[in-house]
Order: sequence, then C-alpha cells, then structure tokens
Amino acid sequence: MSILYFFLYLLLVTIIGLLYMGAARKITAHIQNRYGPPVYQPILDVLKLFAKKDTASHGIMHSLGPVIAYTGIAATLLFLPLGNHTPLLHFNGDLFVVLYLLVVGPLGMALGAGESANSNATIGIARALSMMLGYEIIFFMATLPVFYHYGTASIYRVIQAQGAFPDWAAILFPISFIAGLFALQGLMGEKPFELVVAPHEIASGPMVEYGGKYLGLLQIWHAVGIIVETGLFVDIFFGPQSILWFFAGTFIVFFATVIVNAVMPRFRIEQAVRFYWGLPLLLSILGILQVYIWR
Amino acid sequence: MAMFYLLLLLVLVGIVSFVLGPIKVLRNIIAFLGAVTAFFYFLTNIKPGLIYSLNIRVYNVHFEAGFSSMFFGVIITALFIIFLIASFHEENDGAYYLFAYLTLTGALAVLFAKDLISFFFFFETMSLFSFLMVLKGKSDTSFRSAFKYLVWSVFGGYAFLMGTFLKVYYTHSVMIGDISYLAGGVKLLILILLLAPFAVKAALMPFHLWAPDAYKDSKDTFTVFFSGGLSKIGVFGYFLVLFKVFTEIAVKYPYFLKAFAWLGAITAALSGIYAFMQDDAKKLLAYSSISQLGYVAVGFGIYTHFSVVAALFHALGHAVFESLLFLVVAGVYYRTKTTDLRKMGGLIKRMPLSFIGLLFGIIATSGIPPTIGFPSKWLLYEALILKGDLLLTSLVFFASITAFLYSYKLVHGIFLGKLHEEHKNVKEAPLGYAFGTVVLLVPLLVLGIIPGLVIKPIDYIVRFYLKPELGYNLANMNTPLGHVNFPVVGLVMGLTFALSLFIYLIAGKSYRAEQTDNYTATEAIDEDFELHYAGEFYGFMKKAFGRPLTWSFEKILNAFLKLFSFLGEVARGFYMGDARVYLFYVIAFFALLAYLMGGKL
Amino acid sequence: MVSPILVIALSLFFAFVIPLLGMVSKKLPRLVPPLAMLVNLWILITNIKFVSRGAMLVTTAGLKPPIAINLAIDRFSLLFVILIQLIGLLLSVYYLSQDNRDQRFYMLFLLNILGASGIVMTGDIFNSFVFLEILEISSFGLVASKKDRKALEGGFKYMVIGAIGSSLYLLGIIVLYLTTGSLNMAEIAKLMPHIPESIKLFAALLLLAGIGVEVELFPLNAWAPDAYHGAKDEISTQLSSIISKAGIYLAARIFFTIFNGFYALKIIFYLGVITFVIAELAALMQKNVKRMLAYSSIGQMGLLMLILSLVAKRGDVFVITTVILLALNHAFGKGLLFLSLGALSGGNGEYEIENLGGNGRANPLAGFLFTVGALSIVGMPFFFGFWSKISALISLMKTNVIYLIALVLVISLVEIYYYGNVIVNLFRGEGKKYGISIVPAAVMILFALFVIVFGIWPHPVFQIAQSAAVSLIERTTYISSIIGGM
Repeated sequence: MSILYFFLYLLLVTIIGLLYMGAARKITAHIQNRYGPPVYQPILDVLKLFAKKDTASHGIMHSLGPVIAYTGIAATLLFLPLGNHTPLLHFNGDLFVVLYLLVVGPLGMALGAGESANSNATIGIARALSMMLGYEIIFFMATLPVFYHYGTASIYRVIQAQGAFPDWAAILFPISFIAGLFALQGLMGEKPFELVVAPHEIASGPMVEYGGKYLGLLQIWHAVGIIVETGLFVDIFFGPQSILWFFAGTFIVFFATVIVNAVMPRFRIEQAVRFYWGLPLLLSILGILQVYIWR
Repeated sequence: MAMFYLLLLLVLVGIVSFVLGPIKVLRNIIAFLGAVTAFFYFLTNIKPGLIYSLNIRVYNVHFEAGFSSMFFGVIITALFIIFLIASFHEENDGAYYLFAYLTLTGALAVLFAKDLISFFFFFETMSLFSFLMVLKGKSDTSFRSAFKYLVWSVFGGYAFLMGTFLKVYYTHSVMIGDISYLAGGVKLLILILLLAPFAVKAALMPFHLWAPDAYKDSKDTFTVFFSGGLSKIGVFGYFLVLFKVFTEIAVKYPYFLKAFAWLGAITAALSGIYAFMQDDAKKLLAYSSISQLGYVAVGFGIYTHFSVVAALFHALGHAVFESLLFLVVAGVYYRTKTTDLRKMGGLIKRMPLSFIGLLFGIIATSGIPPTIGFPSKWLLYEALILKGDLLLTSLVFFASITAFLYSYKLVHGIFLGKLHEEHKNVKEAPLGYAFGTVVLLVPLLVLGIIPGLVIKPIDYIVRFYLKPELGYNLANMNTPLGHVNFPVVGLVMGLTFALSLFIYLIAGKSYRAEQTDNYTATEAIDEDFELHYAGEFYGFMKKAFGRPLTWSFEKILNAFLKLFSFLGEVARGFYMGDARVYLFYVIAFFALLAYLMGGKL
Repeated sequence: MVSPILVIALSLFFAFVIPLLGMVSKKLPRLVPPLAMLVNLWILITNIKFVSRGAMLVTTAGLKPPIAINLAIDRFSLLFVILIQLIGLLLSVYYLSQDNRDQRFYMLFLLNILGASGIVMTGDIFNSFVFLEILEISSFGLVASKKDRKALEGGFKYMVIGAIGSSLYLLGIIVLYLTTGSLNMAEIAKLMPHIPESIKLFAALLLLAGIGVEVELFPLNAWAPDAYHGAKDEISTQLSSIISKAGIYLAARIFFTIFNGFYALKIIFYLGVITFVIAELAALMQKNVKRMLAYSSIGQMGLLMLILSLVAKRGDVFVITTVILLALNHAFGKGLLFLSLGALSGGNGEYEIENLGGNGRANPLAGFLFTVGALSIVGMPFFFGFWSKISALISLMKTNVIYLIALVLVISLVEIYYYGNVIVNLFRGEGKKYGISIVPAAVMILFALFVIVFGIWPHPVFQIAQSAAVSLIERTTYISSIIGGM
C-alpha cells in the first residue's frame, strides 16, 4: 500500500516539476517577446523521448547514469517534507541525509556522461563539480544559522519550529536568506550560472551524448530536482505551509530564478566560482555572526 | 603472554620469509599463512585488559591491550593480509617481506605499549622499517620520498621522546598516565610534543609534507597498507594522548582542542584542493587520504562523545575505502604500468570489477549513503553544529565538496572516457587484487547500511572517557540534534533504484555506439583523435584560486632548512684553515680561559 | 695468574720482532699483530677474575707505590683495555688481507695499541704521558702512512697540535709534581684536598689541553677532519675506535679520580656542548662522506665528554655507564662505518656522495654494513646505539639538564638527516662494483654483529659497563687499594 502511495507521490511531483519547466519556457518566452510552447510541452517531450526506439548508448555506465540520477533525486524527495505535508520518511528528514542524497543524482549523471568519451560532456561535468565549490558551500552556510538557531538538524523540526508569517526564518535571518537566494540560482543551474549546460559553448555539456530514454530520464530528474531544491529552500526559510502554499512558495522562488535567468548573460567558470566567494560568502558569514549575536 | 607471542610470531615469519627469499612459492605461502595465523590469533587470544610485561633486564617493557588497541589492531592486521595477497603479484625479494613484517610488528607493539619508552622504541621500529619499505619502492624518486619520510617520522619520534622525558621528569613515571595535575604550561608543552609523531603519521598539516611523495613512490600494494593501516597509528595516538595522557584537556585547554579541530579542517580542505589538482592517480589518492584524516582530527578536536565516535568510525572507514582505492589503482598499474590519469581512460570496459571497486570507493570517500563514509560524516556534522562552531562546520563542508571533485577526476581519468589504443587488450586485475577489492567491498556496504555493528565497540572505547550522548542500536542513531535510520536510507535508495530501472527497462530499446560515434560539431574524428579530457581537469580552478594556490608549507620548511645550512656553513668555517689557524685556535682558547679565570689563577 | 704487565712487554717484544721476521719473509710481519693481540687478550681475560672492586696493583722493580712505576687496573681500565685490544685484534685481522704494507706499518700499529693500552693500565701519571707520546707519535705515522698529499697534511696537522697538547700535558704533570711531590695517581688524588685552588685549576687546564686533543674537544680538534680524511679507512677506524677511547679513559681517570670532579669538568661540559653542536652542523654540510664521518665522530665525542662531565653534578654510576655505552657504540658503530666506507669506495679515495651513488646497491654487503653502522650511530631501535642514546638522555634528565635533551634530540635529527641522505644515495641508481675479500668482510660483520646482537639483547653490556662504572665512581676504594687507607 505504502509502496503504491510512494509511486503515485513520485509521479505527481514529477509531473508538477515538468509543468514548472514548461512554465519557465513560457515565462522566458514572454520576457523575450515570444509566445513559447504550451506549459505541458515538457510532458509530451518526455513521453516522446521514452518512446524512442534506437538510442545510442556508450556502455553500461552510460546507460545506468541517468538511472542513478533519477534514483538519487527520487530518494531525496522521499526524505523531504513538503511544508506541513509529511511524506513517509519525514522522521528521517535530516539535513545531511538530504544534502548527501542530493549529490547522488549529479554523480550518476556525471558517471554516465563521463563514459561517452565526449570532451564536451566531461568539460560540462568538470564545471558542474567546480561550481559546487561555489554555490553548495554558500547554500550550506546560509542554512546553518537556521538549524543552529532551532537546535536541530532535522528539516521537519525546523519547519515546525517556525511559526506563521512573521516568524519565518527568512524574516529572522534576512542576510542568510539573501545569501541562500544567490546560492539557489547556482543550485538550479540557471543563468548566470548556466555553465554546465551552456548550449552555445559545449553543446549542452553532460547531456550531449544522451538521447531517447536517457534524455527522458534526465528530464524527469531535472523536473523533480526543481521541486526538491526550491522545496528545500521553502522548507527552511518559509516555515510550515499547507501543501498548496508550499507549491506556491516553490513556484515563486522558481519564478524569481527564471526571471534572473532570462535577463542575465553567462559567467565564465572561474568568474562564477569567484563570484560566490565574494559577496554571497560575506553575506553568509554575516548571517552566521548574526545567529551568534542573537544567542 | 599472548601479545608477546603474537609479536614474536610476526618477527619469526618475517625472518623465515627473508631466509626463503629466492624460493618464491614457499616464501609466499609462509608469509600468507603467517599473516592469517596472526590475524586469528589476535582475534581469539587477545582480550581487552590483557597485561604483560617483558623484562629484558635493562628495561621492563609493559604491554596492555585496551579496547582501542584491539580496534586498531584488527584493522591494521586485516589490511596487512590484503596487502600481502596482492603483493605476491609484484616482483619482491625476501627482504621486502621481512621489512613488511617488522613494520607490522612495530605497529602492533605500539598499540600494546603501556609505557612511553617502549612506545617510542616500537614507534621508531615501525618508522625505520616502513622507511625501508618505501626505499624499496618502485621508481627512482622513491629514494627522495623515503628520505623525506624518514626525517619526518624521526622528527615526530624525537618530539615524542622529548615529551616523554619531560613527563618522566615532572611525574616520575614512565607509564602512559594522566598529566592533568601538573602545574603550569609544561603540560601543554608535553601534550604538543607527544602529539607530534601522530600528527606526522596521520599527516596533519603542516606535518603532512612527506605523505604525498611517500604514498606515491612506495610500491602500490604497500601503499594500501601504508595509507590505510599505518596512518591509523596516528589516529590511535590522538586517542591515546588526548584521552589517556591528558584527561582534563577539555577543561584546562579548550582552545588547544579548538585549534586542533581547525587544523584538521584546514588539512581536510587544503588537501582536498591539492588532490583535485593532481594528474597522478596515486598522488591524488595520497592527498585524498590526508584530507580524510583531517576529518578525524576534527572529530577529536570537538571532543564530545559522538564526535569522537565519528572520528573513530571515520578512521575505520578511511581504512576501508582508502585501501580499496589504492588497491584498485595498484591493480590498474599492474596492468597498464602507469598511474598518470592522462594516459588512461575507458578501462571500464576492460576491468569491470576494478571499476566497481573504485566506484564504491569514491562513493564512500564522498560520504554518500549507503556506504561506510556516510554515518561518520553525518555524526561529525551533528557534533559540529551541536558544538556551535558554524564556520568550522562550513570549512568541513567545503572539504567534503572537494571530495566530489577529486573522486570524479579519479574515476573519470582511469575508467571513463576514451579507451586508449595501447590499452585495448588490457585484462582485469589479477586474482590477488580482485580478492582484496571484493573483501573490502563487504564492510564498505554492510557498515554503511548497518553501522551499529561497529558503533558498539567504538562506543565502548569512548564511553569510558566521555559522557555518552549518542543513542544507537543496530540500525538507528540518535543525537540531540537528529536521528537517522540507516537501513531505511539504504532501502529507499534500493527501491527508487528499482523504480528508475523499471522506467529504463520499459522505455524503448537502445543500441551500442562506437567510441568515435560522438557529437563533435561536425568535426571528423578517428581513433587517434584525443577525446580524453583528463589533464588539467580543473585547470580553470587555478584562475579561481589565484595566487594563494602557490603558497605552500614547503617554502616555509625550505627557509628553515636554509637556516640550518647556514649554520652548517658557519660551523664548517671553523675547519677551513690551515695548521697555523688551528694553532691559533689552541692559543686563543687558552688565552680566553686564562682571561676568564684571571681572578683565580 | 699472568701479570698484565706482559701486555705491554710482549707488545714491545713483538714490535721488535717484526723487522727480524721481515728479513725472513715479506709475508710474516703481518701475522705478528694478530698473534700479539690474541696473547694480550688471553692475558687480560685470565686477569678478569682477579680485578675486584678496587684496583689491581701490578708493581715493577719490586717496589710499592708511591715510589715505583706501577700499573693500576680496576674494572674500568680493564674494560677499556680489552676494548682496545679487541678492536686492535679485529683490525690486525683486517690487515691480513692486504699485501702492500710496509713492515714498519705493523710496528707502528703495534706501538699504537701498546700506547693506548698503556694509558689505560698505568697508575702513574708520568707514565701516562709517556704512553700518550707513544700513542700520538705512532698515530702521526699511521695517518701519514698513505703517503699522499692529504695523508701527509693530516698527519702534519695532527702532529703540530698533538705536540702542543702533549707538552702542555707534561707541564700539567710538572705542576702537580711540584705541589704534591708525587707522580702516582692515587697519591696525587689522596693529596688533592690540600692543593690550593688556583694550582689545581692551572694543572687541570694544562692536562685538559693534552687530553682535549685526543678526545677531539673543540677547539683542539681542528686536526681531526684532515687526519680522518687523509688517513686510510682502517686508520680512521683506529683513530675513532682506539685512540679516542684511550682519551676518554684518561679524561675520566684524571678529572674524576684525581681531581674528584672539580670544575674542570664544567669547562669540559661547555666544550662538549660546543663540540657536539659545531661538529654535527659541520657534518650536515659535508659532501665528502669520509669527512662527514670525521665530523660525526667529533660530534659523538663531544656528546661523550658532555655526558662524562655530568658526573661532576651528580656522582652517578648511571652517568658513567652511559659514557661506556656511548664509547662502545662509537667504537663499533663508527669503526664499522669507516671500514664499510672503504669497501664502498673501493679503496680509491672517492668519497664524494655523488661518486658513491648506487655503490650500496652494487656492493650489497658493504652497503648493508654501512647502513647498520649508520643506524646504530643515529640510535635506531634494534641497534646498540638506541640504548646508548636513550641512556645519554636519561643521564641528562637525571642531572636536571632537561634543556640539553632538546638540544641532543635536535642534533640527532641533524644526524638522521645527513646519514639518511648518504644511505639513500648509496642505494640510488647504478653504482660501481668492487670486490670484497672474505677477511675484511668477516671483520666488518663482527663489528656489525656487536651492534645488532647487543642492540637486541643489551643486558650483558649494560652489566659489564655498570660494574666498570661502579669501580670508577668509588674513587676512595681505588685510592686505598693502591696506597692504603685514606
């Protein structure tokens, strides 16, 4: 029974994530004065990709890569409370479990893409990993004061410890919140940190050798990833929300990143990393100092 | 008596293997049986609390087996067997095994030693013979590395000896015992001096300078034991000094512990950065090993019950995954005769078992569940946040991220990417390597899913000294901050993997593409086209780091050495003259004495 | 009981026999030294049981001390004389394999051993000067026996400084004789409390000049690097293993037994520290391995004298035991180093590190022996040097000079550095292969066996050293056993 529930849950979140992707295309199109495809277009794309018959594979790891990627993100989702809504495994919803499970996806993709012997893919991965030295550490440092303040490492308890509107962590820790927003832009891989895919430079990087069902798996990985990443952010900073408000929150955060994405150019990789080691790092350190002063 | 018999057995097996040197098969059998016997003898006969003192007339050598020595002894002996089996594939002479066995003897005796002088004796024994092992390394540069290693370990040993003498001078006891009651700063001095050799062995910055070279240039199979096993002596020493020698350190010198933790975190972070800048697999792993041992130091520096449990668990994890990685790289070297990441690639198709070993090795190194690397990292973070040092936590997290970078570089450089023409006919690593790989994979996964199996003995080691705060059973771990059920994490990953695989399987079919069947923006490629992007993998990070990357401890050390050279030149200057100058010395000397004693004559 | 005086008489006899035998056959002279040493050792060993805590008195011309010249042998001197004869035996066996020796060389060699043994056995201070002269003059000859420019230079420097030293030594004896009217060591020691301070100091300084040359104290050691470097490898062994040991004995006997501690030992303390530091630092920068060994030898002697001087602070048996252990380690370890270096360099005077590169690998036995010697000298476990070094540190701790432990350890690290560098270079790359004949190899193996066997089981040596130390420390027993009550 619970396993069935878990499949449905995953399916639902995947579809919502795909709709977010469609919405992003629509928004970007509107900003650029175009019409854009319908919002449900990514769902159709994925179905089409899964139906494709002759897909090139470069070997066993190349095939398994997308599978592992989706495994990682799906497992993360199950440990992540969606606002007030608690999934099966909320009692294990520890920040570090989530953070480390979150890495499984990129690792799987990286392993798969690596086997393809295409330099574009490998360069993309090298960039992706290097970028982690930038945004991941900022994201972590931005959330640390919150966890420290509420004296727990459990995401669920952090959510419950916050109250209604003015009692949000985002209000209590505005500096960390801003630093977190910077990090989120990189976490989502949107411009100006869109170096990993960079279609004009390295031909969509890790995805370059993927087609058919592999690309389909990577698409749904990305879809769930959007929900998990923005959801983590909303959980930590916006307190307890009902499931609807939770999705609204994630969409608002997502919307903000998409807008920034639409108007920004792309950094070079070392610029991107250095950018994170500048202002965002300073902000996150200030956020940590703030929680120290509060105590 | 059992401890003495064990050590004696090891020495005898070493000597027999030396004598049997040229008769390879027999020698290998003896060496192997000796190690296995020692391992089971250790497991069955040596119990915590066992005391033995060996009177060699001029000195009483005291031995005592404690929980900690049991814990590390099992790790070290087990890794020794794995090293031994793999080493039979290499060209080694009898002396190599003699030195290996004496190294092991020294290491185990260090674990058992109860008084400081014996401790020093066995520590130096271990250093000396492991130096000889490195000296018997594989390349011409191994001499330089071995020399460096010798000087560093002896430096540590002498610092320890100085600390020993200070301790004996002030406490009138040579036994390993508490010095907390001593007045003044001398106990801090003793503490630092006693910690030095372990900082060297566990390659804590700035005492790590020997490690990358020594790990790189020692024979590949020995590095398995060297990095995984011998570095544990350093961790054991941390435990020994911080808990048995100075029990009240947390009360008296909390800032020392803080500095120690920061040093560990800096080690972890900087070595991580150095690691992903390396193009040589063994050097990369060497830095990774140093980096991982940095976490252990952090755990000790935080000095709470579960941080120390985390540190010891991580030490075990380090023994498992770092040995596994070195073993796989040794197997790859055996087949390809290179450890240069730029010259390999695509070996996944030729050495699948090695690939699986390395893959799980790097997953554990990165701390990703459900492997042995995860529980310790999780515990460590919980301890860090509870302690409230958020900047330190961030630095440790930074170090963890570097692990992803160098891990991927390693696996990509060797196994992914394009298979080179000269490696088209490479076979899977031979049986000895494969055996070790498979054996190490078992604890790597089992202890990642059910960490409770070893948390219990580790807790026994720690709870005697620190108030137990960690709740645990076979599956769960509870800290004041959070709770994890490790089997559930593993189970969820398994289920989601099954689901993903299901999606993969019901979707359309795929075909196997050639290596050259790649998107290259219309450029025509053939077999010779260089597709393997491995050198300067993170080259752009040099720009990101900028100047600070060129700073190094080596420069400080070199300045120090220059000072000594200068002093040496001055000293030599006294002896440069001819006989007249020397005569002048004699006369001047007496003139000086006459002047100084003028009043008395 | 065979009188120990025969050790001296027989050595002289054998030395005079050598030219006669040389007339008969060219090969015979080289058989004489081992024979002489064997006989001497037999005599000494038969005497071991007669030497109790006090000194055994051997009178000459039927007269009792303090009138006549006599030998006074206690356990301390017996240990040293046996050591000297033993090393002499090993070296003379080593010479058996070499054909190109002049017969005069064997005479000098015998006289050298005779001088050293005489210094150790005599109970008469003037007699000790005579033996010192015999020792020194034969040493100049031995050093110069290589007859090339360097050897002659080294021999000459040694001679100049040695001559000054021994004449000052003689002056010191004269001063003592003028004040006490006696030349007998025990008698002088007995009268010591009555000598005015200033005279005491003056005499002590003059005697120190003579001894300082032998024990290579700074600044009287300037001859040593050149002499060690210039001389043949075996002669260097002799310089470090025999001659300096006689010097140590003399220093202990004169400054402890006769002067009863006194602050001449304080001067020795500072000189020892300076010698130790300067020599070891000088060794650090040496590219020439033999010169490096010479500096290292000086440094070791500095440490030895430094430890010896501690006895002034606290008349402790352990301190003297340590001195003996250090002396034994130095005698066997450094001797082994010089001999094996000779084997490694093929006896052709190529001692530069780069010229020796890989020779250890090409000549595994010699390389192994050099390594053993070096590890023992630096004090690695399982070698005798470990015990002597630990004992030295314990002595420093017992006498409350804790800061010196740090100094000794730092300097030991310097030692590790330069010895390690040589060892590593010996096994690097391809070297030149030289043959090694069986006799020298056997001698070197015996040296090595000493440091290894007693490194693993040091108890016998400790026991012997301790009983010898006790007999030195109990100076009243020594005095009364020679000239009666005190």
